[in-house]
Parts: sequence; structure tokens; C-alpha cells
Amino acid sequence: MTQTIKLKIDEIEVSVEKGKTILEAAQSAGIRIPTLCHDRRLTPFGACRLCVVQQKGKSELLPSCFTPVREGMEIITRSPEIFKSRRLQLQLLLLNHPMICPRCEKEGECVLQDLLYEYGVLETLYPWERVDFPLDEVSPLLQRDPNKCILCGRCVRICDEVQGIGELSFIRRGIKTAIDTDFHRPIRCEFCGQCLDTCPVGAITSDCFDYRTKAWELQETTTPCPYCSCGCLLVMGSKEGEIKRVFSDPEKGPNDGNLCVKGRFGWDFVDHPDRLKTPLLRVNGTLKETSWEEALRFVVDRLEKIKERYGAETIGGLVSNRLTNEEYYVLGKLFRGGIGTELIASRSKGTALTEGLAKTLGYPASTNSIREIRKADCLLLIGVDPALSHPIIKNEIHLAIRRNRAQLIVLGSYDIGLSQSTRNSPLSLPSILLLDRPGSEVSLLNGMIQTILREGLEDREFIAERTEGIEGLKQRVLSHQPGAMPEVERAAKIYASAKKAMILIGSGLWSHLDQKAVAIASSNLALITGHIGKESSGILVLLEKCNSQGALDMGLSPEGSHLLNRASEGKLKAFYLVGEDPLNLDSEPLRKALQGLELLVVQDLFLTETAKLAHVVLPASAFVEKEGTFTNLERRVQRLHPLRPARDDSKPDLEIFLRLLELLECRLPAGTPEAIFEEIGRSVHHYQGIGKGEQWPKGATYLYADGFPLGRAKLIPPEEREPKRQSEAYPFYLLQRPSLFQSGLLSSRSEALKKVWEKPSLEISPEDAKSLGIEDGEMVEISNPKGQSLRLKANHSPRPARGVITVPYPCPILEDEGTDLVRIKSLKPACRQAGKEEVE
Amino acid sequence: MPQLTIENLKEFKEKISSPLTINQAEFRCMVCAGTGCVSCNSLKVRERLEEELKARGLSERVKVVITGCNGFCAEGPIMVIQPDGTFYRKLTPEDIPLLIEEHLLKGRPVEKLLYTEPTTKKKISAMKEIPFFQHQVLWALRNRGVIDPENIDESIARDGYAGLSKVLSSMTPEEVIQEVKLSGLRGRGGAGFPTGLKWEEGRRYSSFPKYVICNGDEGDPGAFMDRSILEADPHAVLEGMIICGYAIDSHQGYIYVRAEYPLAIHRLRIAIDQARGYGLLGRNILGSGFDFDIDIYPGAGAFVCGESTALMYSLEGRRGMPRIKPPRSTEAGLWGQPTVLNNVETFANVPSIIRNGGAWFASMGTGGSKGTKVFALTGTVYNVGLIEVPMGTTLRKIVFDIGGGIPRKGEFKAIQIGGPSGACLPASLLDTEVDFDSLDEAGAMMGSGGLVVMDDSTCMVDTARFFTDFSVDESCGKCIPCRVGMKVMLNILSRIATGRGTMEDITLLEELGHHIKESSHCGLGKTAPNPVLSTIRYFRQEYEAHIQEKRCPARVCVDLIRFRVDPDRCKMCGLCKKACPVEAITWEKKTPALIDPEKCIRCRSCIQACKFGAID
Repeated sequence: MTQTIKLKIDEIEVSVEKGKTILEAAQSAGIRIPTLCHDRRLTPFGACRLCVVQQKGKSELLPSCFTPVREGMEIITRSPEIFKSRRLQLQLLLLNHPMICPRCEKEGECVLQDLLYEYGVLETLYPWERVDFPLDEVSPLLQRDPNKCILCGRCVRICDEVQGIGELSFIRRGIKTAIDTDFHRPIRCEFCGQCLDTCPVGAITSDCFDYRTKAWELQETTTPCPYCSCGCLLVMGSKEGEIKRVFSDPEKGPNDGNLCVKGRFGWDFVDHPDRLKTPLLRVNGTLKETSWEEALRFVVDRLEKIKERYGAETIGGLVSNRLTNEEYYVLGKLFRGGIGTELIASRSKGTALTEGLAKTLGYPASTNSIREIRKADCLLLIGVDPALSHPIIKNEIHLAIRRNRAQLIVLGSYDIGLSQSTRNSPLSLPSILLLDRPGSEVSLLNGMIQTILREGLEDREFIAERTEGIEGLKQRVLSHQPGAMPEVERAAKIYASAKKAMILIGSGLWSHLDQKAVAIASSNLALITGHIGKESSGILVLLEKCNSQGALDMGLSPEGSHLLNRASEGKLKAFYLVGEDPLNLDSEPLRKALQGLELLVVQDLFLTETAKLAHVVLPASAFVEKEGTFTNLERRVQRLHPLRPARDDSKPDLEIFLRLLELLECRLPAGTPEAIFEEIGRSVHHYQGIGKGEQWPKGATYLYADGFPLGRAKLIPPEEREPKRQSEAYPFYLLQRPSLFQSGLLSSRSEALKKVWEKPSLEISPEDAKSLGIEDGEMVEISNPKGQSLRLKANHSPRPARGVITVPYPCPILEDEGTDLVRIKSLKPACRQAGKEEVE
Repeated sequence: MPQLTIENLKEFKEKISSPLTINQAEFRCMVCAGTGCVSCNSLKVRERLEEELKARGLSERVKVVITGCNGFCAEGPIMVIQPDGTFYRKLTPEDIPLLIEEHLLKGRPVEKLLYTEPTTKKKISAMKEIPFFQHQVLWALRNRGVIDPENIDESIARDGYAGLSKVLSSMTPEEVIQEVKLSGLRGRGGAGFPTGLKWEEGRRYSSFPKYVICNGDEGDPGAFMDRSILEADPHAVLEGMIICGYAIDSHQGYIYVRAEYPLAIHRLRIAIDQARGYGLLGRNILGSGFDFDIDIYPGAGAFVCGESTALMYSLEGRRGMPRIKPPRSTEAGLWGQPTVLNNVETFANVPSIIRNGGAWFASMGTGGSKGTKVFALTGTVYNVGLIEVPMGTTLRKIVFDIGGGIPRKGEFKAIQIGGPSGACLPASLLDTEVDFDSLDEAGAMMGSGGLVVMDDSTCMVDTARFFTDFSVDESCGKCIPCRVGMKVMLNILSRIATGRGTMEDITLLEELGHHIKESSHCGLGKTAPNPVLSTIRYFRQEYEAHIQEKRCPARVCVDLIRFRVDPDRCKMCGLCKKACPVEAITWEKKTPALIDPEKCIRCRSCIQACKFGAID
């Protein structure tokens, strides 16, 4: 148990946990102490000295931000000495601070400005010659004015402590001290903008802001992020319906006040000029603007005809994972009840993982919460680089490594930046790499399980009381597995003996060949070691999109790819696409099939490649224009707050679905998102009685604390499949690596993100490159057995396993999912000639 | 190379018994090769000496030994001839033939190369009779000038590693800590934290690995104690660190030493290699099973890296910036592990404490400060150099008995103690005893031990400005009061020194000084205003003279000096006009010269040119 300390602050009795600081104690009692360098997320720094307080009867000034509370302390936060000291401090700060507040973006919310006002600081008597620092006006997205900087170090520290990047640091000494990049080069980092967010003055600004809006003119709306499944809460500052900037809410949401580049800067797609303005209807071969009534009437008439003529099973719907729970719910009603088909699906990557978990544990969802990661002391990452796909989770892992000395184990075909940094710093344990060919994941996991069972490291009590099937698992794993390699053994021992161990499984681009088996093997590993049903012990599935979990919870089939195949085969007559653009990656058979449909409806924000073929195009509203809820990967159901009404003649998806249901003369569910959510609560079992912002079921931050819904968790020997074999002609596995700045349809329409896109390059291990004679930075050509090829620069990288190469998403020669075998050809002059001959 | 063990160390020592017998020579010429003497060519003296000895076939009878700093830097290059202890000073290579002929062959000291007592003009031949040495008590520096620091045998012959052997053979770590606590040894880096307590703390935390760090980042202007110890007796420091490692259960030590100390680093490297070779460092030390190794880390030249937490950051490869406490370094220091950090001099004291017992050490010094303390004595005294005195010695004794008083008939004005963190104490405080507490009381601090004596030609405003300028440049930039406040103080001082000050400025300085002291984070900021505050406290009238009379009493602040020709003394020779580089002097034959104050740049050329003292 943590010890409680009782103290008095300004005569108010406060009791806090031992180890808390005076500042934290004061804040918990609602007593305000001014600070500049303090940020709750960071280790106290003690630079601004504004937070000084006194002990009753003593004259010494104590910086409250790092002085721990002691029993019986009597603290005073206001006294003439304290006031004088703070005032003097501000006077000193003011000496080199340019007083150009009226043309500073921060005016109105600048902490320094507020404090100067509060402490009545106007000018100082002190002699001073201004020290001038060079500006940074060339970096993309972020601009810095070190003259306004007060050197509180928050940007430096958040970049280092939370992000693990260290792009900015203090340079020089004395009065010339400044914060800068090395050699004042332009910023080149993750562009998360956390520095911008934490800066208490206007020293870091963003060119995404228009520099015409004042802080007090901004209307703030809190809503979940539309990108990955972390579900970070964005605080969107808008003026007259136009978004001006995004900050974060430090108090709410799973993100602890942190945001990544997409969340902070990637919102501008909602105002992209390509946004659809009105419904479009194909008349004589061309799409013409039309009214909603006409467009929807057309859709309903066609649907009814097709159903009548070919049967309901020729009508299908494909939905993105970015709709709200309410929309999925009504869409389900529309298809199942209204049309009478079960062919409504999404292309969810990773739902097979959750399915696997449902089979062994009970719920098709992650077991724990994002913010528990930082408290774990062992983290097993399977086939995922959160730094690229789920940056907020990368922060959590970084915190676990940094503050908790967690052991990182990377399992898959590709090493990640996080683990490389652990090997550079003596402050962290070097991470363990279990890298092999794609498709070896289950075999590696079984290797770990084998070691644990063989060495008797399993949690026997847990296995006996709470699981079933241990004998079958033992039999399979102990008898059929070849002896594990030493690294696997080491990883197994560390995982088994950890106090709090978490498994993070990726669901994105580096898809596992057999997701379900990976999930089952992971849950076996967690179950036999008892690393489940506790805080910071469990399995997280890093789902891909903002409402992947919700789509699953609302009963949407994840088999969207099958549906597409069905369409390609010509088995569909009508296809309804919501937020999906399957022709984004060119596929000739699919194009032909779509062209042959009797009805193609595309409901989207933009006129996509697929929409250009549609009979009807319905303009949907963006996430900032609608209500409803998203469920993030940790089962947290968060409410969308619209900051403006639907733009132009677009409509929220929900309204469109309801109208269609009405036209189909079906029984309507409740009409408002609120009411529909209540209805969901009644019909979807685990959504019962949860408030907005809470996690299902019943607000549980982690699952299975009091047992498993199945009674006992199941240990199932997972099927091991032999990975695809390389051939001599095609010796490399090609993987797509997620890109931090470009993840799909939304990000590709963000002008801000475009500014920082990386040039596509191929990553290859130095050993493989050497054996092929490919130099670092050389142009190469990769080709697959289908005859498709791609030219790009090859970079030597320590990250891919031998025999694996990666290119950033989107890779035109790869299907949306999975890996492919390819060969690489160097394009050095000599080789190029040889190539030409071949062509000739 | 013999592998030494606890059993055979004594035997080995007896075999090499005294440094003299190591080389079986009749004479040993101890040539000082501290940085001071090296920079005035002592290595050339040695070269010549060796050549001449060889030419005369005396190489067997006379051995030349390169020693660490002798301490009497004012008189360098220095050579002491053993066994008789004759002290030769200010040697040039040309003096060598005479010296060999007279002293080594005929047994007659060379009168003209001996030390002359400045007041009595008496020649003194024996080193120990020179007043500079007479009043000193050497423990941290006990081997200076006596051994060749690059030869571990000489150190062993002088009881080097005997303390370590004692610890490893017969003492538990707790007993070691007890002994150090009993000695009352306090950290010599400046703050004076009790060493035994720190070790006890370091032992208490059971997180491994633990580290021992020796702080050799001596950055105070004018201080060179640590450098001299490292150059003269590196093994004492190594031994102290190993003992500390044993006491706190650490197996790795680092010496963080200024990169500007190449000779110290060179000798440390040699010492570490030799100690490893003898089995005194590394695995299984002296066959005891205890492992401890030491590496050197040259600092990159930031004053603030002498602050312990900044030093650790720097060692980790980060920017040297003091971090907040708690946790203390003994709990979470280097790489977040328990770390005991002590100063060079502190570690150098440890072997003697172990050999002679804590009670012996505690018998020297005052109530709160035990043992001896090394000081770098500089400024306007005859005997500039490195001294070691028992705690409690008065400043007067140091300045007048050891330092030999003020030269050129000057008058003692102040003594600056503790460098940029310290204070200027006036003549009225000359009877202050040097110990942690009484210096603190006087508004000064021990600091690492720089003593600068000032006579009446020193301006106290200018002195305060000098140290403030240093602190302004060396502030790490973290805390506002130190970063900005010190610069403001400097600006105010400049204003005063250029005659633009107001009486209010003194109040501003005091107000700011106290603010900086109480609200800065680390020791650097907390003490940076001391030079200003102490000069205001003890020499307020000088500030007032600058402000109210626009006059610098010591005639240092150029903007406040007016040069004037005394027509009565002027012999109308015109030399001053010739000397003036800016044509500020008008002179015609048979008229006294006139200085145009507007043009004068106060370069003093005219004063130097005037043979009649007519310019003032």
C-alpha cells in the first residue's frame, strides 16, 4: 500500500500519496501555484523558480514542483517574500523577451503574459542589451522564434522524455543559451508538434495556423481523432466553422495530452477543395449534380428492382472503419432488415486477431488500456512498429523503457526504431530481437511457450484455476517444436519472470499470414504465465482505424476482402461503398466488375477513383460535422462533437442510412445518435450501461480481473503453418512499412502532411545488400512473379531481417494485405545496360 | 611484473623500501614537472641535466627524477637534491654544469641558485627551512616532489596501497565507512558534505551496479589543487577510489578530469596501467576477490560540470546541466544507479585515514573541519604556489608566514577565497580560521580552495566584475536568476565601473544577489553573487567612490581615471608625447606637457615613459 502524507497548504488540510510534490498536493486541493517549466507529463525540471513556496515560520523558498511532501508540513503559497521573488523572476524573464504580444499567436493564452499581468510587471530598472537569436523559418509545419523562448525546456524534455526523439536541445551556455536543433538545421522529426503544444509562450508556432485568429476567438471542440485506433482526443480550435488548429486535452482521453503528427496537423482534409458538395447521379454516362431526394429515390428504386430480379444476395455493401457505432448499427439494420442481405462488411485488418482472442479469452478485444503500457516491465511487440502506425503507443512504450526500465522484445520480420534506441543508451535494457521470415510468428511464440513449460516457469496456480487445455498445449508444443533458439529462450524467461508483461500485436500492414493463430499463440503465452487479468498485464491488438473496434462490436463482418472478390467475380449486381475506394490500388478485374454492376453507390467525402464509376455518389459529412461515438482499441467509447453543421449539401452517413430505411419503408430505429446509442446499449450486450468516454464492459480498464466469461480461458494449440518459401528467382519477402505521414485516404488529402512526406525508399539489410552488390542509396528495381515492377532508392538499414525488404505504404505492386516474394535488380550503369538488352 | 597480493605487498614494499634505494643512487635530483614548472622549461633543465651527467659519467651515482608539482610555483623551475634537500630555483639549462660541479661533485651549494628570503635577503638552502614550506602540513600532498608519479614502485615504497591492503585484509565495508566517519573528513570540492555519511548512503541502496566518481573538473580561475595532486600522486587518488568502491560495493570508478589537464590525464593513464599490471586494479585486487576498475573521462570544458549532477549527465553523454534532487546521487546518480562522487583531494586523503586511523585525522583541524586543506595561493604575495595547511590555520598565517607577505611595499587589501563562488575578505578578517563553518559565517566559502591575495592596487568593483563575468559565461542557462540575473549584475557593475552608476545600483545589486542566491538551483547559481555581495559588504566605500566621486581608488577602472601632468614635476622633456599612441598630449619645448582627457585612452604609456613621476 502506498503511504499517505498529510500536510497543510494555505491552511487547507491535504493528504496525498507519499512521493508527490508540494505542487501536486496543492493542485489536488485546487490551490493554484504559478509555473512556467512544469508539465505534468514530464520529470520536474526546476528552471523557472516561479513555483516557490515557503514553510510556515521559515524564510527559505522551496521550489514546489520537485520538493516532496513531508508529513505535517505547513506550506504557504502566498507571502510578500514569495510575491517579490516571483515578480523579480518575471522581471528578469522580460528583459530579453520581445514585447510584441499584439502580433504573437499566443496572445491571450500565453502563460507569461498572464503572469506578467497578475504580478503587475511592466518594465524593469535593469540595464540590458538584447541578445538576438536566429529564427527558424524554414522547417516544415513548425516555426521557432528563440527570442520569445524563455528556456523552460518543456519542448526539449517532451521530445526526449515522451517522444524519445531528442530533436531539440539546449545549446551554448550563459545568456547565449538557446534551444535549437544541431547546427541550426531545419527540423526533421516525427512532427508530432508536442513541442508546440507544451510551449507556454509563442516561441514555437505552426504554419498551419493562419496568424489572423486570436486565441480568444477560437471555439474549442473536443472530439476523437479520425486516424488510428488509439482514439486520442483532439481539441479543435475553430472560428466560424473553420478549423484553425488542434491541441490536446491533458485531462481526458487515452492519450495523456499527447498527439501525433496526423492528429495534430492532418485535419485539413475536411476542408480540401475536392470535398463533394452535392449528390451526383449518372445521366447518360456522366455524373451530374442532383438533389438528395432524387439520388436516394434512384438508389432505392434500383435496389428494389435488383432484389426482385436477382435476389438480395446479389446486393453487397463495403464500409470503411471510420464510421460511428451508431452508423454501423443503422447500416446493419438497412442491409439485414431493409434489403435482407448479410453481405455487409468492412475490410478490417486485425479483426482475425480479436477473433482469436474471443475464442480463447471471451471478448474480441484488447484486454488492457493504452496507459497501462508505461507501467509494464516487459513488452512483447509482434509485427508492429507503433512509432509509425500508433505513435501514441510508441510514447507509452518509450515511457516504459525509460521510466520503468522495461525489457522490449521485438518479434516479427522487421526491427523497429524503438528497439534500436534501447541499444544506444546504457539507461535501458537492450531489446531482444526475434526476427525471422514473415509467417514465422506462431512458431517463434510456440518456441517461447516451449521454453517456459520445459523450464517450469509457468504460473501453475493460474493455469490450474483459470484455464483449460494445458495438456493438449503441452503435448503439441513440447513434442512438435524443434528446440528453441537461444534468443527465444532468453525472451521467454524474461517474459515469464516479469512482474507486468504486455503483448502488443500489430494488425496493420505487416500483416501476419495467420492472424488468428498469432492471437491464439499470444493468449496461450499470456495465460500460462498468468500475465492477464491484471493491470499492465495482457494483450493489446493495435487495430488499424479509428473505429475498427466499433465496427466489430456492432456486428459488422470483417470479411470485406471476400466481398470484393465476390464483386470481382461478377457475383454482385449492386454494390454500396461507404468511405471505401478499392480502386485506389489499381486492379483491372475489379474495375471491370464494378463497371458491369447495375448499381454502384459510393458514399464518400471525395470523388474517389471508384466514385468516378458510380451511378450515384453521395456526399458524406466529415468527422467534424457529425455526432456519434467511436470505440478505440482499448474499448473506450468516445463521443464525437461536431464543430460545425454539415458542409455544403453533404449529410452525415447516419442521416443518409436513416433516409434510405425510410424510403424502403422499414421500421425506423430512434432518430438521433443519442437515442441510437441508447438502443445499442440495450441490444449489444457489453455496451450496456457504459457512459461516454468509458470502456466497455462497465468501464473496465482491463478485462478478466474476476474471471473469464467462458468460465475458464482456453489454451488451444495453434496451427503452425510453414511460411511461404522463397524461390531462387524471387528470394526476397517484400513488406510494406507503414508511413507515419501517410496512411491512407484521409492523410493523402492533407496538405499539411504532404509537406513532410518521406521519399519512398526500399530498406534492405546491409548483409543482403552486400551480397547483391547494392550500395547505400542506389536505385534498384524490384519485380514480382506477376511481372509488376517498381523502381526506387535502396537504403541499407539495420531493421529488416535477412531476406526481407520493405517499402513504404502504399506500394503499388503489393496487394493491400500480405507480403509477396520479389527479386531485386541493381540499376547501376552496367546493369542498366544489361537491363536494356533484356528488354530489347 | 609482479602480481601483488595482500601477503606479498609488504614484502615487495620492504624490498624497494625507500625511494632512494630503488635506484641505488647517491643523489636524486627531483626536478619538478608540474604544469607550472613545465611551462617555464623544467623539462629542458632535466634534459640538460641528464646529458651533462652522462657526459661526466655520473648517471649511476646521480638519478634524475621527474616529480609532480613541488608547490612553490613562483620559484619554478625547481629542483630539489636529495638526500640533503637542497632547494634550487629558477633554473635554466645553462645553470646545470655549474650545479653539477659545485653541488654534486664538490658538495658545495650553489649560492646564486638558492632561495632568497625576500624580507631578510637571507639565502636558505634546505627546502624544509624555507618559510613557505615550514608552516605546511602535508598529507594530501605528502608525496609531492618526493616520488616519481610515473613510477608506481616509488608510491608503494611510500606506503602507497598499504591502506587498500589493510582494508581488503582486515576491514569490513562497514568498518571502512566507520573509520572515514570517525575521521570527520568533509568533501574537499567546496560544499563540505561529510564523506563518511555519503559513503554510508551509497552503501545503503542495494541497486547494482554502483559507481564511484572522482571529480577532477577543477574549473575555478586560479585554482589548481586537484591538478597538482593528480600530477604528483595519482596513486593516492586511485587507492582512495578503490577503498570507496569496496566500502559501497561498487566495481567501477570514473575519473572526470578536465581535458585542459593533459599532464594529469597522462599520469593518471600511466598510474592506472601500472596499478592494473600489479593487480591493484581490475579483477581480484591483491588476490582478495574484490574487483574494481577505473576509467578516465576527460571533460569538455564547462565549469558547471564540476557540479556533481551535471558532471554525471556529462559522463552519460548528455548536456551538463544540474538536475533536481531528490533523488540524491547516492540513490540514483550515474545512469540512475547509486553513485558516490568525491573530489580528487577527498579521495587523496582516504589512504592516510585508513593507514593512520580516523582518530589521527580528526586530531588535526577544528571542531567542524578536520585534517588539512590544500590551497592554491596566488595574487600579490611573494610566495605563489600550492600549499597544504591544517584546518583552522588563520588567513594571516597563510598570507604572511607562508605567502611571505605583500611585495613591492604594497598593503594587504583583501583575500579572495573560493573563486567565483567565494568572497573577498578584508584585512579585519585576516584572523579568520580556514574551516568550512567560519568561512561560511564570513560570507565566503571554502570552495575548492583558491586563495587570491590582493593589495591596494586592486579595485574591488573590478574584482567583483571579473568573477561575475566568469559566472555569466559559465551559467548553464537553466535557472532564470542565474542566467539572466547574473548578467544584469554584470551590467550594473559595468555601469558603476564606468562612472554611470547611482547609489540605487548598490541596492539593486544586493537585492538581485540575494534573489539569485535563494532562488537558483545549483551550487553555481547559489554562490555566484558572493563576489559582489562580499565586496559590497566589506568594501562599500569603494563602490561609493566609483558612484559618487566617479573615482576608482585603486586606479583600475579606466573610465574613471584622469591622467594629469604635474607641472611642478614635469621636466618638459617631451618623452610622454612621444610615447602617447593617440596624440592626446600637447607639448612644446620648455612648456609642461598637457593631456587632453577627451583623446586619452588611459593606456598608461605616458606614465611608464615619464622618468620623473610627473604624470598621475
